[in-house]
Amino acid sequence: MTTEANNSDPRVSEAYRSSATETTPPELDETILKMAASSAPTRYGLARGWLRPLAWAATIGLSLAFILEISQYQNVTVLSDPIPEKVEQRVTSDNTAVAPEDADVVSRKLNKHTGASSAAKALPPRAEKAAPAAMDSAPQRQSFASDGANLVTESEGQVRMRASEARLTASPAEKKALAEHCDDDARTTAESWYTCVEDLKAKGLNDAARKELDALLIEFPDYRQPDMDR
Amino acid sequence: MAANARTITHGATTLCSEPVLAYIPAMVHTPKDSALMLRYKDGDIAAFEILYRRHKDAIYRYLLRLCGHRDAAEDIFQEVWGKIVNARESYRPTAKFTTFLYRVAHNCFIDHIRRNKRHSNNTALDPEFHSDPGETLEISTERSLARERLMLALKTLPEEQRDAFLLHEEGGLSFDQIAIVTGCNRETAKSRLRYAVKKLRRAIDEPAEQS
Repeated sequence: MTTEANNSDPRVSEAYRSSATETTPPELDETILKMAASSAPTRYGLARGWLRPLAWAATIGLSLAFILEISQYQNVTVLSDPIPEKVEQRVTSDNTAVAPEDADVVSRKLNKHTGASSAAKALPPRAEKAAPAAMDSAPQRQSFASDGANLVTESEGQVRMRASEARLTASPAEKKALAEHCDDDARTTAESWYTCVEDLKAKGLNDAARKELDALLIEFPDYRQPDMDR
Repeated sequence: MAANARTITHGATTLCSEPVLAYIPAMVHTPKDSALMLRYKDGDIAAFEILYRRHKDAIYRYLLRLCGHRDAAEDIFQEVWGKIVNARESYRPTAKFTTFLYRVAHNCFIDHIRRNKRHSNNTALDPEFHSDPGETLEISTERSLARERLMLALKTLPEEQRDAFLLHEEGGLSFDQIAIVTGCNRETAKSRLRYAVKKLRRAIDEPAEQS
């Protein structure tokens, strides 16, 4: 079998190698190396192809995320800032200046409506003027009312207590204005007034009955209710 | 120095003798051709420069001996490396890089022959012969004459045999690799190389036979 060694003659190879000593001209080397350098992709050149779209996508994504975050933050601010508390704050801050009947109106209307939207409507005129932004965001308050019923209830209690305090310090004209469910004829005597209260209870208007009873007790502090006798 | 470089170049393929081959990895870390090509594919121009300097002279001489014209050889040489540069994206290290390189060179030479009918065996080459300083004038003259006869015989060889001989000597290709490059089977490549070497040996020994 013929091997590759048998086909290569050392003497021929030596003679050839000693004579074949040509090298490439330097200008040819320079030309080819320049060509290779100019047509070679830069390092990370392939990466650059998708880096730019990726950068754009990242920018847009971050911007959208930021906008969403800002809008959610605004919602959370509204949601975490219950209107009844605002009402309470305004009532508190205006306590010296606001007439007691204003606070009572707030209390009465809050009793009528447990929803925060109605609470917002129940703002006294001065409070409404002081809180236009709160009035503008009625739908958000609606959602708050459904989600944060506990907060509404708590604020109602506080406002009711303040209204009760205001009632104690109210003038007779103001005390009369506390109740509006019973007419003047019913209020002439304690018994007829109490009969009116009983009627309100029978109609299921418990809040109104309670208020009328409060007003009755203010007007006739010595009146003893028939229930108490029993 | 040039002789050492040539020895290492051939050693990187298959022509180097065993003792020299054994010392190459210990002396210097030589990255494989395919690894250099892949690095160039990723944009490493320095890798291409190493690859180019490793093979440029052998390819140049291969083309020079095939063409017989320096200008034509330089044109084809430039075309070959242009194709290597352009092929970097599609390059896959499935075969030996030397085989790939010489196949490109062979095809470029064939294309050149088809394009230009001026190809002939008339050569304008003026090979430089370097004599060993330690040689006597008689030996030096005899060696020079032997080289001259070898080169003349090489020119007279049939193109396929010359191609096979040059692929073996310059590229260090095996029979299989020569067969791949020239598009023939292994036995044909072996036969061509054997005939070429036989003729060249006869040309070198001609004066001795005559005496």
